[in-house]
Amino acid sequence: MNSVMSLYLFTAIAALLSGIAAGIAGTFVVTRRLAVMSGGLAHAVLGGIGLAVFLSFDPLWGAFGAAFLFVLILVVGKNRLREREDTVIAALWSLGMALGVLFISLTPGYTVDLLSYLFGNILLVTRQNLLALALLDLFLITGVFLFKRHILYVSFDEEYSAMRGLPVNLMSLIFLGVIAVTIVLLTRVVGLVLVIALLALPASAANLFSRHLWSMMALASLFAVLFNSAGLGLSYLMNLPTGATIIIVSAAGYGLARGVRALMKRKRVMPEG
Amino acid sequence: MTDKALESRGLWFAYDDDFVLEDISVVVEKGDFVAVVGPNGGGKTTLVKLITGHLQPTRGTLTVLGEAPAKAGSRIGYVPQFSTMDASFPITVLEVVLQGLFKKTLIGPVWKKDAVEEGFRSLAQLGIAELARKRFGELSGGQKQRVLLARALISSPELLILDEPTSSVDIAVEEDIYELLKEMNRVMTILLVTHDITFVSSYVNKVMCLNKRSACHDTGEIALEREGHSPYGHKVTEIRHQCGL
Repeated sequence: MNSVMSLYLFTAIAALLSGIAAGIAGTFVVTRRLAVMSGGLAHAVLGGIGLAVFLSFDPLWGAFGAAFLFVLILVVGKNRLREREDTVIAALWSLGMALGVLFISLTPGYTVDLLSYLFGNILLVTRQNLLALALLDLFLITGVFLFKRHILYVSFDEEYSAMRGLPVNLMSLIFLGVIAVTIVLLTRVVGLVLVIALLALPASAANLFSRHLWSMMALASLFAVLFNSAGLGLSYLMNLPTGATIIIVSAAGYGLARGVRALMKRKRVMPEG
Repeated sequence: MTDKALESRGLWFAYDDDFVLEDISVVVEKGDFVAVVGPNGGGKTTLVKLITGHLQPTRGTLTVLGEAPAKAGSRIGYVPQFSTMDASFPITVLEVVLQGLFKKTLIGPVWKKDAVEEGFRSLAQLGIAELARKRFGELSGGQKQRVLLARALISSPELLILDEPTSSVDIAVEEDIYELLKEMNRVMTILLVTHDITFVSSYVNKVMCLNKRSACHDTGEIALEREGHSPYGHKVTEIRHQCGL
């Protein structure tokens, strides 16, 4: 296999694997209204990436560390210190980015392009990244299969779930963890500035057509894979930046879904017309 | 076995330093049909959240069906205000109702056939079986209220708690709901949080007034005085009760 072919294959696999994770984690983001939290987390991760680059170890571990810290500080700040959630998010969002820029500028002989962390670069996706994405997908699909009803009921009505003895706090923490890990792995493809759109847009589009949480996840994954593939194809053909193209395609896809939904509704109201 | 559905002694609750409930000592016997009334901010919803185990008392004790609230949860049916539910959440009416039967040990994606049949029976009891496959968020207020009531009733609870069940439903639905509750009261204790004491006074046997502090009366002790026309042109009803609040 020549190198161009293997790059094609590599990209296609990345689009598929990241789409599945984006659809499932995106459903959590949309139904639990965590879009702003997720956006903040994605940006704050730059702090960890910067530190990793500065100390010259794998940026992926720096990103995971920063994501973990973000969730920890958010939970402690909100529940123990009773600080306003949006304030904590805003502070961590900027602080993470500031630290990232600082560490990267301090790195001697620094050559890696800051822009690829911010806006993604499919060429940064390694074999390891794909393996990690595949494991995440496997974990998510198995988890949703086994705990489908736990996830449904805790997401829909925490209070009633707690009354019926479900481990509501543990599950909320797992949801946050899943979102954080997914964001870190997806930043390689679309970049940390753009990743939130890849989580929110396919899931919001899927919500327009779904009566069940699980079907929303499935449809969101399908949409995300489609948007990913179309974006990657378009960016290759027209020589455009991949991350940005994927997001613009996703936004267009969401708009299209809204239009289709409106037409379906009108048909139902006026069956003759 | 205890014959008390609810018993609190010197119950205090504060959000941060702000006391919402002060020294509440009340007893609800099994088989009672209690209306909880009081002004907004009087602590009605806070009391409900303490009973369902969602909040913990700052001071004092509260037992529900002879147990700590956190342990009694599966024996309670709870009907929240439907306006607090997310209308855009993807879930069907049948799925909502079956939450009343769900336990954490139920691993795997599908419901057993007899559980689904029970779900349909519970919906039929409230006259909305045909809505089972609809998306919950698409229903009208009255329909949502019935679905949440079906979810509470499906587990045959010993104590049924309703938080303003008839706010924003029309009067016909309201009457239906109260008739059904009267029926249910034969086999379960009912605690009804409401603004509208005049309407429920013919159904309940006890009224708990809550305004930070509490007072309980049998309905016989309450004088309902129908007044003439108010300046707004509506019939108004004044309630006189010796709460001392």
